Amino acid sequence: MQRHKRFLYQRYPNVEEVGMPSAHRISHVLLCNVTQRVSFWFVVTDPSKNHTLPAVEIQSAIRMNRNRINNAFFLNDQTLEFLRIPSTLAPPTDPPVPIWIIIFGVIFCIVIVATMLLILSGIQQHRRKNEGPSEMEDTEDKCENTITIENGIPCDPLDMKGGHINDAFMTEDERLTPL
Amino acid sequence: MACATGPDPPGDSSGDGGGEERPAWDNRLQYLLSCVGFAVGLGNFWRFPYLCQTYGGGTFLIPYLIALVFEGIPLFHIELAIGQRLRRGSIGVWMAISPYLGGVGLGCLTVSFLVSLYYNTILTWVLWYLLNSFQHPLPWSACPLDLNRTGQAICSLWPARDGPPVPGLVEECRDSSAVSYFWYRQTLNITADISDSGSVQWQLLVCLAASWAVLYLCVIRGIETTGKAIYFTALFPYLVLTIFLIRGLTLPGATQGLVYLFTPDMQVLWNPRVWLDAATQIFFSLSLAFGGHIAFASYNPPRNNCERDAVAIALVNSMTSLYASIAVFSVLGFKAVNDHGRCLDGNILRLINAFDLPDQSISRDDYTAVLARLNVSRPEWVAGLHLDACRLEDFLEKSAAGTGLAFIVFAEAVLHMPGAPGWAVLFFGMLFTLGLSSMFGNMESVITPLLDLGVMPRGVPKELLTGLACLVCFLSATCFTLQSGSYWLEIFDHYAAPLNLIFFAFFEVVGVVYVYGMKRFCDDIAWMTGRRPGLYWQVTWKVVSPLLLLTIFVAYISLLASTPPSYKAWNPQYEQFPSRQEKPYPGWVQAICVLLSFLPALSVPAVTLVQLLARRRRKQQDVQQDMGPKLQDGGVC
Repeated sequence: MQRHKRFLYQRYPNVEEVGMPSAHRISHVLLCNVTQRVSFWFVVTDPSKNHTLPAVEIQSAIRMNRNRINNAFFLNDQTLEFLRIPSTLAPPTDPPVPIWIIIFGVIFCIVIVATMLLILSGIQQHRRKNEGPSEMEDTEDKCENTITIENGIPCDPLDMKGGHINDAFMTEDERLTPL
Repeated sequence: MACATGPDPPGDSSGDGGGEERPAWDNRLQYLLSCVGFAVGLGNFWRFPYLCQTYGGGTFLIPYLIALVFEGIPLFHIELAIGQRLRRGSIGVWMAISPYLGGVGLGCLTVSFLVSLYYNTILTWVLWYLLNSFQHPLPWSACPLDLNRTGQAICSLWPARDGPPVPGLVEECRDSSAVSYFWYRQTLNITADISDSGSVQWQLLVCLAASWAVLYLCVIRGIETTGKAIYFTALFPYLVLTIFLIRGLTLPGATQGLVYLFTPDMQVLWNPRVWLDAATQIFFSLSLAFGGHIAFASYNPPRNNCERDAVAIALVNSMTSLYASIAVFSVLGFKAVNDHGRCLDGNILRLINAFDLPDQSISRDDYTAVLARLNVSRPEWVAGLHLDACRLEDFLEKSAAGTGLAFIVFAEAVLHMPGAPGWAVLFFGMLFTLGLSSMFGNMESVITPLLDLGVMPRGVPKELLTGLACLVCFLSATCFTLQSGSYWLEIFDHYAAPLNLIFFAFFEVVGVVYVYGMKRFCDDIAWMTGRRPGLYWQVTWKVVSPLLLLTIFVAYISLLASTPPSYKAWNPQYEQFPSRQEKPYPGWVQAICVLLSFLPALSVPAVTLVQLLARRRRKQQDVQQDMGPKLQDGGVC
């Protein structure tokens, strides 16, 4: 938060460019309660009718021209505060399509395309594998695939196909080794 | 002679439902990265640092290391060893060890399924934030405007305290903070009560579909595809953590955060809660008893040094937790110092305005001296200002755990870094890949047992099974996209997983050591690794781990039973808003909590009963068939 230079006021000043009907001059803006910090109260008089202008009109005038007043002092809303006049916030710049939907669309499309590619390549592999072994179905293959059973215990060949321990083999080893 | 309780039922020489060769890892690195990715998850990031900070920093490491050595590593070694030896997923492994223990595998499958549901929902939230990070300014940096569009020009993260209420900002946002508003209202659109379900949030539903689609893409062919994806998803978080660490350490306030994190407080060791939390943290951090590590190890070549793997992966996991907590707390320290500075600035401004002092005459360092002086000279004025007590410790304590850390605290911290959108993209990208690699393990622990069981007929490709699994999970998880979804997610997180996993882990240890046989298990390990397990392993497996698990189980149950289950609701109508309102669970929700806690565990006695009945029926049939000639039944069963 920046330091505020505060104008404490009850009535409005009038600025010539606002275009009020009567001709106001700077001399018609009266200051009071001036402190060492740049903050003060002021009222605006209407010389023709000899009374002070109503607060509401001046408040709306200030709100309309806030930017020009700020620029005249090279200040902004944070550094020039009018008490009891809240500043008008700029409207948020909403893009027509929220950004997240755009990025989501991109990512989702990529994912869908990649998934389709993987599925299609999987189907192709599957089809190639199905055509392949069907040509090779001879008796030799059949013999290889049967499992020899000896004494009710299957004898798997001792290869790396599953790291299964051939029970018939291993237990004999265990009995013999300690000797 | 080994027989029916041996590893292979006759005729089934491979473990794959398709009748093909069991798939295998391309290389050892893929396997290690998969296990590390599964173990290292969101918990390493948002649970461990919180525990460290709550339980006196450096002192928490003592119970943590003890739990790692006596509980984490032995259990982990058992899982890897039996998976590698028996070459099956969790159901197949337990059926092979003993048909009566098949329920353990079934229970692990159920818990993995439940965890997948809500874990991927968290990833959905991360994805939503990630998608929203590609804009400047970030959407959670400022409150949205109300319709009349007036108000103080400074849309600050602090609620307005000066003067009358400010129109212009949405009230809920103004009273809490922009970050909280974005999380609770614009993301979750949360209701004030769990019984009020609200409607499905379409933006979350769409993100949920996207995250399940991404997950399906990665697990579509099992380890063939996850093995490729894991290179990125497991290594990217480390890269981002390093970047955040370097950036965090160069930010002002990092040292305060780290000092606060690691300041030891020895008194904390007398609190039994610390030991319980350390044990459970190690347990869940390593993702034990899900069946995921069993599944991963089952794709290994049989002669692989699983002992070395177990120790290495567990150590990597713990190191990652420490590394992440350093990165997290350096950023949190920066955030705390930042917030503290802004609090001071607010007070200084009020002092200057009230006492008509010159602009910028009080610096942050002079503040306390000037305040003391003013308090002496004009105490009633100072009291009338209602200054905030700005203490750095209060801001440091504001860290959080879980989703609060990521989506509120860290999201806000990222806002203050220069180049905020870039940091936000990196951060949420890291969270997404962290969670995704854990999800690979979860999905494998669901899919591998189903494949081994041969649920699908032979001709059906694996892609269809994984697709169906992802589809079922996605449809079930849509309940978390309701407005009350995050309350339900908390329930699942607290009740579905912890008790059941500890229960299954206990049966794992007991089943392997006492049912399978310690001697046989040691022989298997000697065959696989070339070395018999030493005294440390034998003692921990036989005595220490089962006792520890039993103690944790009992302590956890008593903890759950002693505190009446309640939840913290986000209720804008609450008097003390933005504090969350503590509400008890309604009766039907409590019933669901109890169901979630015990139903998966019931599969163990259920399957045992079924097997007993089946065996008795088979014995009766055998007795009837004994009328005919005796068949030579070689196996001495």
